[in-house]
Amino acid sequence: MKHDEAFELLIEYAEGTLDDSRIKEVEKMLLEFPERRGELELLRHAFDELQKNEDTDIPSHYFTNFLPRLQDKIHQGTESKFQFIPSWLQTAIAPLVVLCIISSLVGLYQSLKPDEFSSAIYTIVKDIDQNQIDEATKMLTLFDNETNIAGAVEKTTRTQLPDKYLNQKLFTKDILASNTLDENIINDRQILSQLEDVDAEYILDQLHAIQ
Amino acid sequence: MNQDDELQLIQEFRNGNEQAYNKLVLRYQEKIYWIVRRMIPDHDEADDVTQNVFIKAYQSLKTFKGDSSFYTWIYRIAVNSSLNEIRRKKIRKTFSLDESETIQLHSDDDQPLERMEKEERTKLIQKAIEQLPEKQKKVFVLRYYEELPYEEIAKILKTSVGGLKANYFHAVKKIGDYLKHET
Repeated sequence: MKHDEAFELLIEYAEGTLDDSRIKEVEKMLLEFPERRGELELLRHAFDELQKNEDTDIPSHYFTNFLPRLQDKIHQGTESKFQFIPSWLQTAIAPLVVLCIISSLVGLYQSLKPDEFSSAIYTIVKDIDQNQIDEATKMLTLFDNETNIAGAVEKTTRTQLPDKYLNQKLFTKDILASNTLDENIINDRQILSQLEDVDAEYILDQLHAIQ
Repeated sequence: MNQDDELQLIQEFRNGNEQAYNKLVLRYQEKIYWIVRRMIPDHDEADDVTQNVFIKAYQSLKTFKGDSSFYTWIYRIAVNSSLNEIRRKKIRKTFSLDESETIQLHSDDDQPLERMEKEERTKLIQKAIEQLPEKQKKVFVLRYYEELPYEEIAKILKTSVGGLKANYFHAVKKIGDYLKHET
């Protein structure tokens, strides 16, 4: 006899629900395996005590009130905080809200993204008044005409030019006329980024003076 | 109400008929309450768990696949929710987060002896069931109190019939042993 079969027989024997043929089978088992008698005694004791114990008391009308209370709880949980807005409007607003969130995130990213030319020098340079740019442009033209180096000389030369030529203004002009397709301007930017701190401060002072 | 009727009600509920769900609740509320209550002796706690069982059913019924019958499905939710609550209580008790033992003050003078004895016996049996391992507790409640056939319990607990018989046998034996030593 398998264990689970023996368990079932002993349980049903203890409950008193076995038919005669099965009772004999159990009694035979109990003779063969006396240790089962102790188990049977515990099973009987459990069933006796359980049967003496009636159902636990519950408040009267508990089951009558159960469904209304459940309905309240379900509807509290499913009520929307935005229920005053018609559902069709909620459907229409939802994509807009998502779009706004995405736009905000993109804007935030752009504002936090490091600016390639966000150095102190560039910040000042880019805020220079248009008149000053025009003035710088004229001076650049004059300078280029006088020295005949327009577009033909290494841009690093410009950083070494005497102060009287306002070389910082050359940067000003070039940087403000930013055009990534213009190789010269890219070169100027590279020069600017490669300046030593001392030089940068010098240009900065000059720019302040110009402004 | 047979299984086909229940499937019909589920379908109606899915189509937006709340009354169909209410019929299922009315049919099962007592059974579910008692399954929960056998495992969680306190009425208020058992009531909370029972309500949560039906709320879970309400929320999940739209995705109910019908692989098992509704009652197998909801019994499973009830048994698992009860055990989760028992685990949660054990954790709270371990960390002394709440006073789970409610102190009940009775005036012994106006309470008949018989009633007191009954209360004592009830508490003792509740403790005997509480001390069972989780699996045996589930099997005992479903078999003894709900009188479900092993085959149905096997579906609810997703286990083998042979294992269930062994679990039930050991559960009853442990209850007998506990009561023998405590009385």
